[in-house]
Amino acid sequence: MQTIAIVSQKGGAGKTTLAVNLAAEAARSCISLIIDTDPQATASRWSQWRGGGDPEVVDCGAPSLLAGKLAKAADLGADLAVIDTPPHADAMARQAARLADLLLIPCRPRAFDLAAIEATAELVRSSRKPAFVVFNAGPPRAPHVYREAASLIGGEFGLQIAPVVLPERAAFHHSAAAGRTAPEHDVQGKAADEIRALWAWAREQLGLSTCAQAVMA
Amino acid sequence: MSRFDAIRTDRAKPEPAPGPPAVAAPPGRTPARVGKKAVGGYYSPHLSQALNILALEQNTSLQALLGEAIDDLMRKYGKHPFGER
Repeated sequence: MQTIAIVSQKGGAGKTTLAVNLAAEAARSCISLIIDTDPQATASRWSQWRGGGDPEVVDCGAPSLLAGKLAKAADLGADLAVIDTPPHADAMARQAARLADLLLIPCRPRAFDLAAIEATAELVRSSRKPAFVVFNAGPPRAPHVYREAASLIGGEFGLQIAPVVLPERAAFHHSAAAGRTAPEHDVQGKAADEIRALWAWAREQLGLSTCAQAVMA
Repeated sequence: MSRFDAIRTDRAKPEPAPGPPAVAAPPGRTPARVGKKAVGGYYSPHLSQALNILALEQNTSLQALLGEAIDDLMRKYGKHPFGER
């Protein structure tokens, strides 16, 4: 089993949106689950709105439980676990980073958000895990905004940047409220293309090109 | 019945994380300190007294107060806090 941790000290960065969209896209070809470590239980609420089904959302209330839950998920046949972490999570974020194979840091390409990534950058450096910033909720057509943000993040904080950007799209808002994902909301929409591209890239990073067991969505 | 139902019930009974093998506490050492390192410094008796008074006032322990202070220090220098108490 491979594990992705979605981390960011900043609230409202889009951690849960990224977690549910990525895990649900993965669930089309793999057995995936979301470990919700956020006391606000946003991913769990999304699962309730969804009426259950894949990807399952399992909550985890304490950092000391996380390793055991991941080990059991692997025993139960999971190919992928996506850990959604809360903002301002100290011990939990460190534990998630320690246990994950890939760290994704959603970040809006805006000055306040970029500045707040410093502490997260230190966390991922100390974990020595492959880590990428995923630009999220920025303007859809403003390449210079992303270029400037990328030069700050790559230069000042030494973080890598995922090749796929998830710009602000209405599909993320409409789908979340219905317990769905952007590709489920509009399979031909731009957000759907971007989520598929991000998952294709992430599974490559994880070496998950062939999942143990294909499941129907 | 869903595939991962078994993990949902784990919340109430924490279990030791796999990883470094569990080590029995050496004689004379409290189990809470196993696998931990002492971090300390030498300061004036006044400072020590003030910290102990603060711990009493806040109804907490010196250990928890120092964990809190270390997290504040980490944030001050742009590091990610540890959240250990």
